Formats: sequence, C-alpha cells, structure tokens
Amino acid sequence: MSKPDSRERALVRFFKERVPLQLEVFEQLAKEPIPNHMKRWWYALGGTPLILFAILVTTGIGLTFYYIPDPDQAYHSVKYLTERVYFGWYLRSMHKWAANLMVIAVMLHLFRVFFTSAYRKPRELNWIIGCGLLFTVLGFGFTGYALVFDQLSYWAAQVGTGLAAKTPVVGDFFQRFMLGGEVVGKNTLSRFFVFHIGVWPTVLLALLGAHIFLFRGLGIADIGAKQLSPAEARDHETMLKSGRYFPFFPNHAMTELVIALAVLILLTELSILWPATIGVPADPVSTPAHIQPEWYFFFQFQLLKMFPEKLALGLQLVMVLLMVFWPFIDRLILKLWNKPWLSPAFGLAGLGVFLALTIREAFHGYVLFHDWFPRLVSGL
Amino acid sequence: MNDESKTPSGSPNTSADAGAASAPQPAPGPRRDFLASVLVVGTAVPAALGGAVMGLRYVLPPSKKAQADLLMCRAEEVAPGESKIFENVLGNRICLLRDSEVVPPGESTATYRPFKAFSLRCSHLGCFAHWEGGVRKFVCPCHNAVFNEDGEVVAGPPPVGLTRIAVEVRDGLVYMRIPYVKA
Repeated sequence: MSKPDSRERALVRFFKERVPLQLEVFEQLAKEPIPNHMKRWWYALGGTPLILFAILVTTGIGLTFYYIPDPDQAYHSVKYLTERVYFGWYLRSMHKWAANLMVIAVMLHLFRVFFTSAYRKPRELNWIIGCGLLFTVLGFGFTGYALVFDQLSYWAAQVGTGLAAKTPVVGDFFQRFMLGGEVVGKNTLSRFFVFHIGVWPTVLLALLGAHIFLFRGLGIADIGAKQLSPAEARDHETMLKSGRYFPFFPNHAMTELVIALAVLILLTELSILWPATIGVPADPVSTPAHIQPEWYFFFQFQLLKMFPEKLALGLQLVMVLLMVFWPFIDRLILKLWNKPWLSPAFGLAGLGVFLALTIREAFHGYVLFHDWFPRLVSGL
Repeated sequence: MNDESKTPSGSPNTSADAGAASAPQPAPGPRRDFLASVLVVGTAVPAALGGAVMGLRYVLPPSKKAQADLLMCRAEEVAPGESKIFENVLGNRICLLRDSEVVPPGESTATYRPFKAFSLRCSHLGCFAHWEGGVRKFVCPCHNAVFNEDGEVVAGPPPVGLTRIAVEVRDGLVYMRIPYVKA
C-alpha cells in the first residue's frame, strides 16, 4: 500500500510546487456553515438556476455546432438539427425546456427571498443584482426565441422590438440598435445571436459572480434566529458544533446533486413528451393570425392589449422600479406605518396580478408553451 | 445477501465524506465501502461512456445514405384507395398507399403518381404506427400520435412526420428507393 501512496504524494507535490493555491482556504470555503433551514428544498432554490445554467451552456454549445445565423439558412439549420442530426431533437428540446424552467426557477427563488424578507439589510444590493439576473434571463429568452426563425419567432422579434421603439426618447435608437435596420433581417439575426451566446452569458456570469460573492460574504440569511455578529460568524467550528448549522460540503452539495438529478429527469420527460418543434419558415410579408411571445412575456403582452401603449409602458417601468428598489421601499413602509404584513401583502398582490394577466393571455390564443393541444384536439 | 441488506442502512453522507479530510467519524466497514464504490463506478462509468459516445455521434453530421431501388410488388396488387404493408428482413415495416384513381385538378395523367410509401416507424419513440383506411390516417398506439396521408403530424407528440420512401412505378411494377441501413 505504501507504493501508490508515495506516488500520489509525489504527484500532489508536483502540482503544489507549481500552482500557488492555498488548499486550506478552499477547504474552509467548502465547509462553510449553512443554517439548518436550508435543508428544506424550497430554501435551496437559488442553486437550481445555476444547475439549469450549466445545462443550458452545455446544450447551447451543442446547438451552435449546427446553427447558422443567416435569414436564408437559420430555419433550415434548425430543421436539419432537429430532424436529421443524431439526438439533435433531444439537445434542442432540453435547451428549450431548460430555458423555460430557468425562468420559473429564478421566479420561485425571487418569491422565496421576497416572502421571507431575505432582501433586508445588509442584502439590499444582492436583491438588486438578483433582479439584474432575472432581466438577463428574460433577455436570453427573447433573443433565443427569435433565432429559430420560423413564423412565430420572426414575428415575436418584430413585435418585441416594435414595442421597445414606443419607449419615449430612446425607443427609436433602441429598435434600430437591436434590428440593425428597419426590419428583422440579416443584421438582426447576427445581433440576436451574439447577444444570446456572447453578451448575455458574460453579463450573467459577472452578475452571478457578484451574487455569489455577496451571499457568501454576508452569509445566508438565518431565518428565525438572531443574526450573528461578524466575529461569531467567522468561528465556523463553534457554529457547526451548535447543531443549528451544517457544512456546505458534503451535506449541501448532496442536496444540490439530488436537485440536479431531479431537474435532468424532469427535462428529459418534458423533452420526450413535448419536444421542441419548428413551424413554417419566417415570411416577412405575411403575419400569422395568432402571434404570441413566450409565456413569460404574456404579462407584458396583456398589459399592452389592455391599456394604451404609453400607459402600459409606464406601468411596466413603475413595476420594474418598484421591484428593483423594493428593499428600500420596504424599509420606508416599515418606518411610516410599522405594519410588518404590508410588504408581503403588496408582494402577494403583485404576484396575483402577474399570474392573472399571464393566465388571461394563455387562454386568449394558443395554449401555454405549444401548439400541441389544438393539434391533439383537431386530430381526434 | 448479508452485505446487501447492510448498505441501505448507512447514512447517505458516508460515501461522499470518504474523499474529504474531515473530523474523525465512524469508519464504514470495508465491505460496505467496496459495495459503495462498485455502485458508484458501475453507474458512473457506463453513464460517462454512453454520454461520450452519444456526444461524439451528435458532433459528426449524419452522412448522406446510399440507397437502392427494390422491386416490391405488382401495381395491380394494390387496388385504388387500398394499402399494402411490407416487412423487411430487419423487421421494419413500410406501408404502400394507393390513391383512389381520381387525378387531382391541375395535374396531368402522365405525371400523376398515385403511389406513396412511408416507414411505419413512429418518429416519436419508434413504435409502429398503423394505417387506418377508414379515416385515411396513420395512428401510433403508443402515445396517440396521428399522421395524415402525407405522413405529416396531425396530433400527438412526434417532432416530425413519418419517413417518406420514394416510389417508382415502371411497367406496372412498384419499386421503392430504400436507404441502406446498418444491419
């Protein structure tokens, strides 16, 4: 037994002498104490977007092997990938469903943080960064949907950028910037593609780095217990011995692993039962009868149907500002009225409006996500 | 038997802990250790290998398959509006359809081709669909997929239609252009 052991030591020494890493620091980081409430999965929702991001990057790289961002070829390259390439349908369906689950996971994480008031001092900035992450994810969705370049995705891009153009002052510039011209065309596809595979991933990684740095630095909000002083929070040994904390590795890593497996199984089930399809090729001269964005933009789509454009845009801006600066507004509410139930009530109202508008839009035209349901009904 | 009954009773952390140099803990028995590593290696290695093979096959674009014209039957064996099923030596099924003899408007009798053929292998998960002559649709019983006479998806989960096979009629004989497959 001594021989392989000494050989292993030599190998470890080889790298230790050449890579100036302080392994003790990593070990310390890996054993970070996590409050016991994190054993419940709904508190561990923050890791799910990270798992989905890894899946999206992997499948996304696979998709770029065949995708061609050119108006004449984009549709056919996606069709070829879906119908001819070995397991191409699976990769594309996984990517599509992971994107949908990503929006859901980020929203669930956001609701959990909101309703447990985990955004309060000193975590206000991390809430704002989290909002930035949500908007980046939505940006991913918008640019990615357009890349397929079938009728629905073409018109979604056309309508989406058309709405942006209605924004006062910057709207016109913004639309030209995104489209690279007057209408969706060659430049649009290049720009959407670059944003989807280059700009948004970079932005996301930067924000994610800041998000993780802040929450590791500030520690996880210890719900239902008194906040530790910085000196106490540094004493990991005592914290772990107190029984109210457990180490990140291996205990929490195990939880995340189980979640990752569950997510992979769910994605595979969804991909098999409702694989990503492709409609008819984009036709710039004929708008299809029903156009609809992805479900996570239903809410905005409904607002635009219900109110005049300027008002709808104004409402959206107000909602976004309310959401982003909520930690400070929350403090103001507490100071003015001192009613702790006001904030959650406001959040519930906001969630209610969001769900109501989304469901309303969902049953207006097509059914959620897909056109499979009408097809099923008409076929039987 | 004895060893197997022991493994589930172990806490889920013991195997994951093994790699980390952490505080002293009850040492897991060598047998349980061995079983745990057999389980881990026995699932991780095949999964990684399978994933690698599938990944490599994905990366390589599908090659254009060579094909052969095969003589299948006499045209008169399939009456107008009727169908005929062929099974090849590998167990795959092909359905030959014949339109009712009416030539569609705008098409000359010379170019009108009344025969169509489809592989009955459902594009969803590979069950065999069957031809429902009454409603003139292909139906796959596994997940209720429905395809029309042109093999296009009408209902159900398949991502694409049925694979169409080119049919040629020469001197009253029906030929099909069948792609070569790996045996």
